[in-house]
Amino acid sequence: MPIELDNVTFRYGPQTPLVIDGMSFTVPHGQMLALMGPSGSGKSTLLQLIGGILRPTSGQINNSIPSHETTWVFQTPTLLNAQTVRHNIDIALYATGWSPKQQHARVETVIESVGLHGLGETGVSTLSGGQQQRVQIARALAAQPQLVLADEPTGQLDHTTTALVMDALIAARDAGTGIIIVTHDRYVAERCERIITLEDGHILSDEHRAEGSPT
Amino acid sequence: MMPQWTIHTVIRQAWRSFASRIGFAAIAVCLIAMVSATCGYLEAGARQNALDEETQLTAAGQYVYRAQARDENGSGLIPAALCQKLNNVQGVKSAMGIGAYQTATVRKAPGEHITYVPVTGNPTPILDASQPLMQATTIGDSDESTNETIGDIIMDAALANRLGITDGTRLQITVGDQPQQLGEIVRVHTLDAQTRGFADSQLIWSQNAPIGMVGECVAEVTPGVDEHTARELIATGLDDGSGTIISISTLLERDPNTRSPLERFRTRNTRWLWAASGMVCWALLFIPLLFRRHEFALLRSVGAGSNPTALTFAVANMLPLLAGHIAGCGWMILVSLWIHRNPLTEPWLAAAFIGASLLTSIMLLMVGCTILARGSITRFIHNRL
Repeated sequence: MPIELDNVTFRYGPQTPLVIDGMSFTVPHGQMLALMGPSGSGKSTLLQLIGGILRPTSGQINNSIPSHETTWVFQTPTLLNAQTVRHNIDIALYATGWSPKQQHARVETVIESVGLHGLGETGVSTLSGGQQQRVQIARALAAQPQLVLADEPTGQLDHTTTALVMDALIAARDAGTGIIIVTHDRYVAERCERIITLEDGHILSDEHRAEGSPT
Repeated sequence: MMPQWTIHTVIRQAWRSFASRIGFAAIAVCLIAMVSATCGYLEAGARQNALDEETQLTAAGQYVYRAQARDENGSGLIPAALCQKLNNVQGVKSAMGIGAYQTATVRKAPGEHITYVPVTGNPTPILDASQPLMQATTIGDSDESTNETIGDIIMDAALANRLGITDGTRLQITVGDQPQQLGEIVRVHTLDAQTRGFADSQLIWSQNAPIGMVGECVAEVTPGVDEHTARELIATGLDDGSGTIISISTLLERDPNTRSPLERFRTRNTRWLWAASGMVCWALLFIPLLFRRHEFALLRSVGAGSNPTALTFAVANMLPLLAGHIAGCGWMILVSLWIHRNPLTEPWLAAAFIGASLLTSIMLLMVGCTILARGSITRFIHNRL
């Protein structure tokens, strides 16, 4: 089912300015969408509205994807600091009902896909910020959710690792996972098949592109 | 359908959470052991001190009352039968009537001034708190068990020792000015009459039938009976309806401004230390959890319900709680053994204290984790974006 926004507006308080102003668009199931724009343009707010964290002040959002099929990737890695990489990832698989063997295999796959080969038993507190962010991404992808909502997922990563992570996200998209990314990185945006650029709560442009095409 | 965490998952994640912080857990175990053992020892000490003092004062006669009759002339007698009946009153442990004092001589101790006191009722538990009721034979009566015409007398052990008399010795005594032909051979029973002050002078007591009148009725009430109730019991029991005033005084002088050891025991502040210990031990583990609230939200965000999330963190912290309390109990017992050089007299009390502290901690932990696990996921995610 697609995600539909119909004339959505949002303000944080009764006397505060509109953050989202009359926005309407549809995100088809399994699309990889980048949200770009300057700071304060409403990108993170829009992400929270789509994810059901915030309710629109007016207008309607139709998102039938259940919350347990939606995972988040935060700008700051949010991990179980005293536990290992493997343990931080497999907690996302507890509720899937998969067998332990399937869970183990899946954890190995996502660890490899984000370039953390050999670090499964490493404590996350000893990893760099970029590595911790990749653990968070791996956890978000592990259970093969219907939707991943990511806020600046590659902000702490170098170009090579960013490319690796984007490959993993594209592979997840190819497997049927919808991905919405808030990013300032043009490279990340151009790896997506659609870029919506925001400014002052409005859609400035809505660009559909073939994945991987250059600027 | 919303996927659920199984109990196996909860236990696995709880163990991981515990094992990933083993250093903190070890420190927590030590601190919990110290807190619980210290609180338990303070309470045991306060308890034992109060009970020891109560025992000492009871042995010294704090529950013993002396009753005398006061008629219009200022003196009077009490029917021996009424004093005897006090032994059957609920709340009265034993009662004895004291007759007229007479001089006596003991052949084995010539020149010693001995006072002969005829008593009725149950004298031995009153004279010496450690003594049971003695089935004594009155001087002049036959002893059915031995078929002898021999009476029993009661003598303070210190006096007996000074006179060279041992328990069971047979003596020849003369009561009054005239030697008695019958019953002059008596069998001595010694006891400690000094603790309660009944041996200030050289007395020997002889059991008599509750006939006639006595000058004083001494009664001991059951430990724990308050003074007002005791006085009422005795006064009611000795009331012969003649309007004679019964004057009752305590054997031990009391300071009205000082609470009795039993009252101090009942109202001691340390009786709540089990709750304080439980709360402190809980706080040692729960306060760090407050700084890990994001982990609660993280588990919720990956599909764990609020109950499995709460249970995960509660179970992970129950292990150091349990280990710490067990160590504390062992510590308490070891310290008691070391200091008192005797086996802990009431080990079950130590276990009860530790158990109460542990259960308090566990209950607070469950409540606290449940509250933390029900925090708003949306707020958590909003704050992270």
